[in-house]
Amino acid sequence: MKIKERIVFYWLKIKEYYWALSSRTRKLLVIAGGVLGFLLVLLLVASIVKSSLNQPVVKVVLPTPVITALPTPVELTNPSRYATDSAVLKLEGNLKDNETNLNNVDIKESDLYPPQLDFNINFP
Amino acid sequence: MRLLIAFLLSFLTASTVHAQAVFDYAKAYQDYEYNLSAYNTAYDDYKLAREQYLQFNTITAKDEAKAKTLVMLQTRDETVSTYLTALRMKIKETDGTTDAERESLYNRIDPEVKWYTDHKAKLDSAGTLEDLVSDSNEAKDHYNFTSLLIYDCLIQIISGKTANLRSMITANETDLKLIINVIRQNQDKDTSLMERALPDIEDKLARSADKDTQAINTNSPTTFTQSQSLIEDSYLYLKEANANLSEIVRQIESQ
Repeated sequence: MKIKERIVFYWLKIKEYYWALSSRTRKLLVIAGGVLGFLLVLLLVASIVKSSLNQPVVKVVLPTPVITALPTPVELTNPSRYATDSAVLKLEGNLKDNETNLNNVDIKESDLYPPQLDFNINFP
Repeated sequence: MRLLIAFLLSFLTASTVHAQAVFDYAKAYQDYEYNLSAYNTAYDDYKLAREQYLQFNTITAKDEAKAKTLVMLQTRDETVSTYLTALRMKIKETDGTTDAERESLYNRIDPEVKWYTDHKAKLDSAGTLEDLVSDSNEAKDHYNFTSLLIYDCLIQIISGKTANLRSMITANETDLKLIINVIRQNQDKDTSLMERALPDIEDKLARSADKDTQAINTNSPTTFTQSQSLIEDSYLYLKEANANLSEIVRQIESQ
């Protein structure tokens, strides 16, 4: 017997048993089936809700604002008596000027590179 | 009326003097850029006229080619002479170059500018296209000589900058030595570490000077890039020396 025929055979058998039952038993069976189905649906919904609650929370990573490092004057925590000496302060200022000059100097002077000129003029 | 004329004349004279006085590197460079742009346009015209002449080989096309070649050669000479003038003005305005070095370069630049000015004037007398080609070849040969001067000027300008910075840092190093001497005499602060750091700074300044000398001595149109990197090395030594001096000053200022 093929599977399809077997299924039909059992389905007919069940229907036969069902209709053989008293009307009260059939009602009870329908109510029990409905309650069972409801419980199954409830179980399914509960499992879906539970799984969604257990999922790890995805944190949205926001870009960290870039803080431009500004040159802050180095504050001396424990200054010596020379920290306010005019000669030392003058030298400190000169060295800072040198640093600025060193950072700003155009050591390549690429604007002054020779022009591209064609000296190979000929009329063959 | 006379007073009015005198006033106007004096105003005009003052304006002329002022106009002459403001010829600086910026103006010279502007002139050069203008001439380079004119050369590029003339060169494109020359290329087109040349192609047409080679393609059609007619008398009209040859005349057109001659006319465009003449303009191109004239603007090329003008570009070289204004470029050399810009270099001269840059040398004049760059600190760190000695008077002798400046004069030596001026004595080489000025005849070169004259050569290209004369050559440009001569081009008008060229009767044929072949004459122009010959005149161009003359400039081509001469430009090999000019190139040597150009790269000597360039290396002098950039090494002048490092020389200037080095002289300032050296002067600061001398000032620092004097301050350290005073502190040592006062005997209220240990100066041994600072004094030990000074020879290292002096060494960096000496190395910077050596790099500059090496760059100048080995410079040529073909080795300019190497000379330029020697100047960059010199510059890095200066940066380190200056940072080291600042560090010592911070030590002086701290307990």
